[in-house]
Amino acid sequence: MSLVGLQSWLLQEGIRDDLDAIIRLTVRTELDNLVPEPAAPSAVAIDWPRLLLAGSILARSDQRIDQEAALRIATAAISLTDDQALKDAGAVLLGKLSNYRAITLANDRHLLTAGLDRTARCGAAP
Amino acid sequence: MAAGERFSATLLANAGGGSWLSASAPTASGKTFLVLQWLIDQLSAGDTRVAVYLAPTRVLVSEIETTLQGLLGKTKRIEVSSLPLRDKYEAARAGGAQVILVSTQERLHLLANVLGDAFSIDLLIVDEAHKIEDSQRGVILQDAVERASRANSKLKVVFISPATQNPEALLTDAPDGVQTVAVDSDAPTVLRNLIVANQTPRKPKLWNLTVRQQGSTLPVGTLQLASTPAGLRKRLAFIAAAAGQRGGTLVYTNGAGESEDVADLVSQLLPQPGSIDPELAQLADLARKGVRPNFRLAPLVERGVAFHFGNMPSTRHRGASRDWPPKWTRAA
Repeated sequence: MSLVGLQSWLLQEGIRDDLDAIIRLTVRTELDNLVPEPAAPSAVAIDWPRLLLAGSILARSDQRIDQEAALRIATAAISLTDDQALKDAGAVLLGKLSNYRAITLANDRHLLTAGLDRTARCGAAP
Repeated sequence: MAAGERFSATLLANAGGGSWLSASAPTASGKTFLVLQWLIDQLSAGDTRVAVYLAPTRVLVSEIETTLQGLLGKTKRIEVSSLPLRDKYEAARAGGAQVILVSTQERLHLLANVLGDAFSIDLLIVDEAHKIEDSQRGVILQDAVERASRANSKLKVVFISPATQNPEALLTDAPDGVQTVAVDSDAPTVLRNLIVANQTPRKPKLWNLTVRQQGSTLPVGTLQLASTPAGLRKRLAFIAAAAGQRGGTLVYTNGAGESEDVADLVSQLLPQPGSIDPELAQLADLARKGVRPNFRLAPLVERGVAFHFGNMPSTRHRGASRDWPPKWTRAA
């Protein structure tokens, strides 16, 4: 399968359910006065490592729809999860999208732990 | 390489030559910051003595001037000015501090008139360059670019525009023999969710929300309103106030009068603040003294709500936009 074919499959089928779940979750977290829904999806049920891997593949695409999906995944990993490694991976994905303003904003809102670029958290020596 | 990195790399690689360059990318993609960094690099390298950054409004001129001063820090080798001062121009040409003049197109013409035949700039950056198609000020902008180009055939020009489909159209007036490069990016920088609200049948306080995507919709949940809204303006105000109770909500309306009405409605739905934020009190005071004592904006500002529309004086425009979103709970 070509890279373009893989990106298209990921968006249409491979991660479609998880992508819809994070859209619902991120929108719900931004709105107030929503009636509680016990059946609403949970961030815990999402396969984040798989989703982030898909995001890194989609980030290489020239298609706006693919890049938007990658941006959604990165934003959701930072804002919806409590795991530092997942948040860091989201920030790295934002970097791949050259969206440094979003990284700065996440730092300002204390969604990321400072010093990602100066530490060995990503496997690189300081 | 990801798409965003490709845009930055292509822009920087091509901006360095003697070419005319037109860069287009969505708002908040960082293109202005990138160009400002490149501009400073060009002056630091030494060849450029006089650079002009054209921006269409005094608000933007002020923002760019402040950003450049922040990036330059305490260096004395490069001066930044938003006034078309002959002294700074002549000092730069005579080997003194290099100068970046941040200006509207009208002020650039003033400087050119004062300098006469001596007018020559090395580098011209045109921000919001798509406004060249405006019926009146667009003509003045195009004339400013052509005037600068006639005065110096080696002039470097960089056009910046947000999400323009044909950025190469801005390069058609480049002199013969000059290399032209268009750099385009469609990469999204912010997430946008189009949410449609429909009233639940026979329950006017409950509104079903769905996110509309390409070719499909996704249910998000049900919004609970505090009371029943009658009429379109009240529905807009009530839904905005309920969904954005934490603040930072921007409501678009049709026209100035409607924006004032919706802002007024939203303010009535908010709890009365215990005390007025000192900065908001100052802005309300400015609105009362600068416009009229009973200006409708003033009491709204004190409650953290504002309305904002075209041709607002730059002092209040700055006040209303500078602190967004922390001080503003709502705007219409």
